[in-house]
Amino acid sequence: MKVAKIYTLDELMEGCKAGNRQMQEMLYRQTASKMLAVCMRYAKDRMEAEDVLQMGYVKIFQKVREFKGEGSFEGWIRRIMVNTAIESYRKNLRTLNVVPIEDAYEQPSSSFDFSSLGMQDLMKVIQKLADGYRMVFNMYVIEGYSHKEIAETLGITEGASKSQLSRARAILQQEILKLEGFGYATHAG
Amino acid sequence: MQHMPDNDFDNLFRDKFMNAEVEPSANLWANIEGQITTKRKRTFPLMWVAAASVAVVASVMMFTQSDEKVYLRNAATEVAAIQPAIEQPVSVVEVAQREEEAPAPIKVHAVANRSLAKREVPVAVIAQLIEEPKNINPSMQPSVPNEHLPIKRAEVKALDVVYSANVVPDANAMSNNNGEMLANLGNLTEGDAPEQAIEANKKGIRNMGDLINYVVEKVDKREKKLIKFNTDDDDNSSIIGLNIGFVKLNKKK
Repeated sequence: MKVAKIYTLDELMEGCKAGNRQMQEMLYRQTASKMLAVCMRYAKDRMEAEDVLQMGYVKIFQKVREFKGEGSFEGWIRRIMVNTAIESYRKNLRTLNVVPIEDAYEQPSSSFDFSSLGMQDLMKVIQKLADGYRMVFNMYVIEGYSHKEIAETLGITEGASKSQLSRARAILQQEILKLEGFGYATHAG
Repeated sequence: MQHMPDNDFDNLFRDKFMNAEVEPSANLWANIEGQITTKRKRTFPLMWVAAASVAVVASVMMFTQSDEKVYLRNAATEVAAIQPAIEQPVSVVEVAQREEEAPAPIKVHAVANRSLAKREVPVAVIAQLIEEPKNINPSMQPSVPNEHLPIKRAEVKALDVVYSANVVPDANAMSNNNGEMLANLGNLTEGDAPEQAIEANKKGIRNMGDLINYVVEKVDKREKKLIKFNTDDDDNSSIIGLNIGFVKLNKKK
């Protein structure tokens, strides 16, 4: 239990708009772990994710006065984080790794036992995806962008967005199957 | 073994990440704080300091050298009154006629008489008369706008005796008036400077531009200051007035 008074996000927002350093820090303390989880999904590793997180918060404190109360403040913060992550990806756009799919389509999907998998396991799996796949999967599945929006944001065609999404799904399923098998084997010891 | 629809697969991921949290490294806030702090911090503006010291040195130099030009200090109307008399060598009769329109006819006779009698009033008298205000002026000089050309002795010399006789009494009267006028001007300008200073102080010194204006105000008492900044805008003071002798700039007018 934290002893310090917990402010609501709206109170913290007002404090940040006034440029209050303490309120800025409290906003960070209350939201950073959630936002790092967002950044981690888009990044290759934790270091990259924390870089994005830092850039995102600097942007948030600079732009907080522009927040006019459309939607929740947390939603706004999350949007800035996602945009920062996408920006960072586009800036150091690595060539899309063409990942061998190993007849992923043919392989029947098993029923996944997600309960045995922690969020961290899924995070690792997502981070292993090629950059392009990871972007499309995150934007479509978790953030709920349409293929049209993804195509415009990433500068690819809608068709490419759709095909990358289904490949991403296939790869993730394979990886999860492997993980479950490994998981039982390693956790036993 | 059964096929899992894409939607279900997606939902499972979404649920797992919905409220996911990963604790960031401990030093990350310090990094962010450092970044938002350095952006706000302003380095002390060296250029302003340089400008201020140049302004001070230049104005001190300027006021230790007192080779200022001396101008006649008449008001525009008075000059207008003298000018036609000087430029047009009129006969005595004409002057007399003109003077009749004036409310002092007695004086006119005096002028006419004297001009007839003293045909040979030396030019030197005029020169002397004209020089008289010179001696009074220099103290007021800086605060009065220099709108008139200086009248040089050479210009006066060209007059003939008849005309100079006409001018003498008038000029006498005028120089007396001038004495009063100049005294008044002196009072006015002395009152002016503190007013300006108060005006500057009212706003307070908020930035470098204000500070320089204030220092220059103290040193340079002329109307067109050595250097003057517009400090209305918050951050970027801009030069609106400059007067370094040969370079003069004044955006206000």
